[in-house]
Amino acid sequence: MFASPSSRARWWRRLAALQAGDEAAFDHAALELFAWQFARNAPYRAWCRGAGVSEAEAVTSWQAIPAAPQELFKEKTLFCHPARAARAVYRTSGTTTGKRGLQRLLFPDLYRAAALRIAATLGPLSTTPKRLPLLCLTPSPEENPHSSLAAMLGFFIAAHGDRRRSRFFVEGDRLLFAPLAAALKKAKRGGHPIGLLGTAFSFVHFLDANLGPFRLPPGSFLLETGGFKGRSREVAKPRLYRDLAARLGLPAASLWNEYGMTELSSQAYASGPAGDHRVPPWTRVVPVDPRTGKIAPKGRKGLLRWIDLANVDGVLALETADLGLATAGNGHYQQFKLIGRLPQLPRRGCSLDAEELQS
Amino acid sequence: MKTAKQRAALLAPVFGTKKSTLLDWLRTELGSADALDRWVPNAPGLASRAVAPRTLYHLCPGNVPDAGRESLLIGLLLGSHNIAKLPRDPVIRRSLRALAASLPGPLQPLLTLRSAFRPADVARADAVIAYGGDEAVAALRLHLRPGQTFLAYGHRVSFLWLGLLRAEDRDFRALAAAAARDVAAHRQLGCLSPQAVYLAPGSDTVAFGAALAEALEKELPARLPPIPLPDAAAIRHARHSVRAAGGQVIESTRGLRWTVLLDPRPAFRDGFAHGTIPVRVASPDQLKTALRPFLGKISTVGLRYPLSRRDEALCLDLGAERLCPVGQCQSPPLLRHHDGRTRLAHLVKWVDREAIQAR
Repeated sequence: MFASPSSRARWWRRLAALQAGDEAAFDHAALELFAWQFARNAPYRAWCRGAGVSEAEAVTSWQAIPAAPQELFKEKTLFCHPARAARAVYRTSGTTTGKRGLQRLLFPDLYRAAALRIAATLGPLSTTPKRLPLLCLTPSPEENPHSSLAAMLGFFIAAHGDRRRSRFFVEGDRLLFAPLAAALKKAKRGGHPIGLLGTAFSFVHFLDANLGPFRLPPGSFLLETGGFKGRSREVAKPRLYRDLAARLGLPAASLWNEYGMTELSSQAYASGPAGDHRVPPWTRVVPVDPRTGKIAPKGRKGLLRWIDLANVDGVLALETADLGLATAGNGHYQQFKLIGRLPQLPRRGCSLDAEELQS
Repeated sequence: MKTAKQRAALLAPVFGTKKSTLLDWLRTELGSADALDRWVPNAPGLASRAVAPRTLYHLCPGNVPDAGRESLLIGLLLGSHNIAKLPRDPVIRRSLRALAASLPGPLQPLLTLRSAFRPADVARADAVIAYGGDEAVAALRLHLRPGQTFLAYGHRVSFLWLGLLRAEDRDFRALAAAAARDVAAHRQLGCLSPQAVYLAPGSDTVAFGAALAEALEKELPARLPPIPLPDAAAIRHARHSVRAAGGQVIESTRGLRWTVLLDPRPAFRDGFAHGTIPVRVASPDQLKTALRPFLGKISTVGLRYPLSRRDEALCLDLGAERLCPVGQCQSPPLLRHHDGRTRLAHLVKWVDREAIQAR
């Protein structure tokens, strides 16, 4: 079904035609994709059976599709094709345990199409009619071919960026501060808006380097993604955004967060430090109450579970270790508030939070 | 309250112990039950007298009530004026307030409870006792002045080592029941709560897991307080993780009430609570490797008795601070050392009175 470029293109056209809130069409496509993955992906099938789903036909709505946890990617090859057929292999960051998972794609076509469409409709590229220089605080896809983020930024530059003036500013493990400062100054001088894209920790390094301040031209944006992952000091999001806005002369609404997983093909975007995240019509994000395993009611926190119909080669349903809550009232689960990664539990001991020392 | 003996007589019923036990404690740690009240011969020509801290500050832990209670018992037995900062946990707050209210009249002036942290309280104390993680202890240190006695009880882990255990062993079920007692007590939130049961290779692991699960169901009260969302999410994550690694999960039919994780990975992890216990298989050498990241942090090892020399040597090698029969992890004797230290002796100072030396 998804082995040839033409069949994948057909699927993409179907996804792209989905309307927000069209539950019937979404449900139909989700069950179709689930049945295919259940048949083709043995570790996922085993996981489903462990969750009490012995046959794909037993699942009659997208809400009932068993979600694979991120942990499963670290232990098994979740791929619906022969492993050697993968044209793109992305590694997860191994945030919690240090063990890294793999996302294999037969072709990166659907990932590319989804990422571009989402950024252009729900993300920062929706606000920029012309091609901007995209300054990326990450390694390039050539330097890090197993980074899904680098790949995505590469797609952005190719499709929406000013290719001549876009650049990746991480080489090896070094952030190239001097060329970055020069590019930012040039944008300021020339009055040409730019996009500045990177991970949260790269922006902390940027702030710590004391570059600027810059007053970026109107129309510029910043896109932040990912957590800190032990690679810099951690900064609370409101403070990070406030500092970045001040350093770059950008309004809060021009600061965007992209929330995605290496294990998936679609992303969610939020504007400003307190904005809700939104996903495209071919995606649902539901909070699952960890006590019951059931979808948490609106306004109640839960572990975020993704259903991503663009993720055809692995698994469409993924349970994350991130907490969030649904915020849209229509029950379509296309808008949510991201609370963040499951906090590190207190170390078991005679424990006390530093918080207790606040008078 | 003039003397330690008088205080012991009043404190014993409040703390559910005997006056003679408290006097034994004083004798064991200070050499005499009267050491706080009179000169005690110490060496030829030398008499000594223990001086308790005039003011003792307690930062009470918020995970288990017993540690805070015992901290106060120590201060009251020594005759210090005690200032206790209550934790945020409402149940433990209530328990400590009830304890304070139940003190006999003559002891009431020796205890002041505080709801909020006040740096001035710390500044005026002669000694400070704190139960907390590294971050909290570091934060508290900032408020200390030179010369203050500071006892910090930090992060510790405990586990059970049962060696080779076969289903036909006479004590098989009794050991499972005893392990369940250790796991169930205090919602598994304390530093004495086991974070794993280790069995030697060749053990009947699955049968033990089933027996432990059965025992946990019996041991836990019929109604349990609700599990906080992050803890619930961690349990769900732990279940996923073990299933993903090919292990077996035995779980309560009543949600997250208890979980036995038959984890094929010998690596030790902490952060398990609310009746969630991994059963791991490791040889003594593998156990040493598994615990290496926790060296210096191992509190209690619950063991199969009669204690073999080999097990004893293993625990000493691991740097464990306490060895006890499985089932007794959560009920340490009053006269024990805490984190390897004496509890009364570490708080007092000594005054020596010398006789005229013969020429």
